[in-house]
Amino acid sequence: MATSKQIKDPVKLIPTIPPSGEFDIANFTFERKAVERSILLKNMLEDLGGTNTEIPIPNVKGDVLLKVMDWCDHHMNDPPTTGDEDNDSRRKTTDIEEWDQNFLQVDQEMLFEIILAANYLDIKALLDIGCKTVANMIKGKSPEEIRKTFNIQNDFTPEEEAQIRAENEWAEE
Amino acid sequence: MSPSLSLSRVSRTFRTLVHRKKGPKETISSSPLCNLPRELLLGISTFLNSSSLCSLRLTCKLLYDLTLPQFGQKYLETVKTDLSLASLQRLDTLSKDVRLCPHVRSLCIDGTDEDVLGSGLEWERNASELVITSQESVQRWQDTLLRLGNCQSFHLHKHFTTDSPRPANILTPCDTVTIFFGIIAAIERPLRELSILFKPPNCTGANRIDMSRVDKGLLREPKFITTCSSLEALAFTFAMETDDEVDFVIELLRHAPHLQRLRIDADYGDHSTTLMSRLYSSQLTFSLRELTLETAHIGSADALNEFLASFEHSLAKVSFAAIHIDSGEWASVFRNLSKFPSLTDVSTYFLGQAGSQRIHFPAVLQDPVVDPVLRTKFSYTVKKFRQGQRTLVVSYSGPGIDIALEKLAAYATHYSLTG
Repeated sequence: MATSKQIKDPVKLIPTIPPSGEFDIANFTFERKAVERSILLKNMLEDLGGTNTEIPIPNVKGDVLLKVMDWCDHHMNDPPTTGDEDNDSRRKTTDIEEWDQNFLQVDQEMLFEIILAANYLDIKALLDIGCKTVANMIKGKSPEEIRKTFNIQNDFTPEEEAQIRAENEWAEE
Repeated sequence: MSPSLSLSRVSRTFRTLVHRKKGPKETISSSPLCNLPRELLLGISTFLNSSSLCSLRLTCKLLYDLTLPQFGQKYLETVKTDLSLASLQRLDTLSKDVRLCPHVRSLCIDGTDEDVLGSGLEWERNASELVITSQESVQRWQDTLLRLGNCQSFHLHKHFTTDSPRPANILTPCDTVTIFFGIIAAIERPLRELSILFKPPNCTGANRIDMSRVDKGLLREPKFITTCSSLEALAFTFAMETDDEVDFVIELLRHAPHLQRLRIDADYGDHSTTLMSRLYSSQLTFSLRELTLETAHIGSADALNEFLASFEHSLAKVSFAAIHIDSGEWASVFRNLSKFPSLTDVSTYFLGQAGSQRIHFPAVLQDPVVDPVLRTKFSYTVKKFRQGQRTLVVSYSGPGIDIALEKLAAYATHYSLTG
C-alpha cells in the first residue's frame, strides 16, 4: 500500500467510493509521476493546470484505487508506451513479469475491479497484464472447468454444444 | 463523512452497470467475467491460443457470440479440403451456416496423403481420361462453393502424390485443376488469388503438372476468362518441362490484366527460359507490385530489365532465388531496379550468370550498413564452403533502397562452382 513516504510532487486523488474501514485521506496522496501512468488523470492534470492537485475519482472504489496506485508507483519510471497499440510482440506473449504476477495474486473480484479501473483510468500496461492474467486462468481448462472458475451458467442445449464442437474442428487443423 | 460514502452500500450490480459504458445487450450474468465490457472480453480472448478459444466459446452463448468474429477470422479464413466425401460434408455444413460462411475467403486443395484426393465420391472420366466437369460429384462441390460466396482465393497443392494411375475414384492433383477451373467458370466466381503449388517445400526436381489431365478447353471459356479478370495474385510452382505447361501459364497470365503479385518457381525445368522469353515478348501490361522468381533460367539480363521496366512504377517487392541469367550481369539488373520509384524490398538468394558462374556479395560481410544516417543494414546469411565464406540470402527492405541496390551492383562478385 502507498504510505505517506516522501512525495516530491504530490497529487491527491479523492475516491467518491471510499475504501471500507478506516478512511485516511493521507493514504490517497501520490507522486504526480505515478498518477500520470493513467492517461485519463494525466490529461486531467494538464487541463487543470499546475495549481490544482486534487482530483475526485468516481467509478473506482477506494480499495481498488489504492491497489492500482500501488502498481503505478512501482511502474512510474517505466518508459512511456509507444502508442503502437497493436504491437505484435506484446500480443503474442502472455508472459507477465514477476512483480506484476505477484501484484495480481488477488481474488477474482479484485482482479476484475483492477481491470475495469485500468480501463476507466486508461492505464494500458496494467489493463494488458490484467487481461493476460484472466487469459492465463482460461488456458488449459476444459469448458466445464472455465464455467466453474468464473461461475458461468451453461445456456447451450446439448445439440448446440455438439454443433460448436464440430465448428471447433476447423481450429484443429 | 461525505455524503458520497453512502455509495459504498450500493450493490455491486449497480456499480458494474456504472462501469459498463458501452456493452452488448445488458443482461446481468452471475459471472463477473461475462459482465466485463465487450471490448475487455475481446482483449482477453486475443491472448488465447486455439484450444483455449475453442473451450471458451463452448462455455455460454454470450462468450460464443462475442468470440465468433475472432474465431472466424483466425480459423475459417483459409479452409483445407482433400475433395473427399467427408470433407465435402463438413464444408457443406459450414457453407449453410450464414454466420460462419462469410468468413471463408480462401480454399486450399490439399491432398497430402496418397489415395485420399476425392475419396468416397464417384469421379467419371471421358475417353481421354479427363475428369468430366458435368457430373454429380463436381455439381455437389459446385453447390457448396456457390454458397461460400466470399471465397475468392484458391490454392491447389500437390505434395508427394503421384500422377501415375490411381485406384478408381481417386483423383490426381492435376485433376483438381480441371475440376476447379470448371467450377469457378460455372459459378462465375471472381477470383482474387490462384496458386498452383505443385512443388512441395524443400523438394526440387520433377514436380511436373501433367497437362494431359488438365482440360485446356476450360482456359478458353469466356466465363472462365471473366472470373480471372479480377485476379490480383498468381503463383505457379512446378517444373516447366513442356510447351504445354508454358502455354498454360502464359494463358492464365493473359487473362489477368489486373495482376499485382506474381510468383513463378520453375523448379529448374528445361522450359523455364522458354517461359520467360514468352513472358518478355507477350506484350502483357501488368502493374505488378510483387514479383518472385525462383529456380529458373530466365534469359538475358537485358530482356529481364526490359520486362521489369514495364511495371517500373508499381513494383514494390522483388525477390530472386536460385535464378540464373544466361547473358549479361546481375549488376545491370540491380542498377536498373535502383531507379524504380515504389520499390521497398529486394531479396536475393544464390544467383547465377553466364558460364556457370555464381555471384555473391562478400563486401556485405565487411560492411552491411546501407545508409549510415538512417542506420539501415542488409540482412544476410552466410555459409562456409571449401573455397571460403559465401553470402547466401542478401536482402534489404526500407528507405534508401536505391543505395542498397547500387551497393549490390558494386559488390556482386563472381565465383565458380567448380573452382
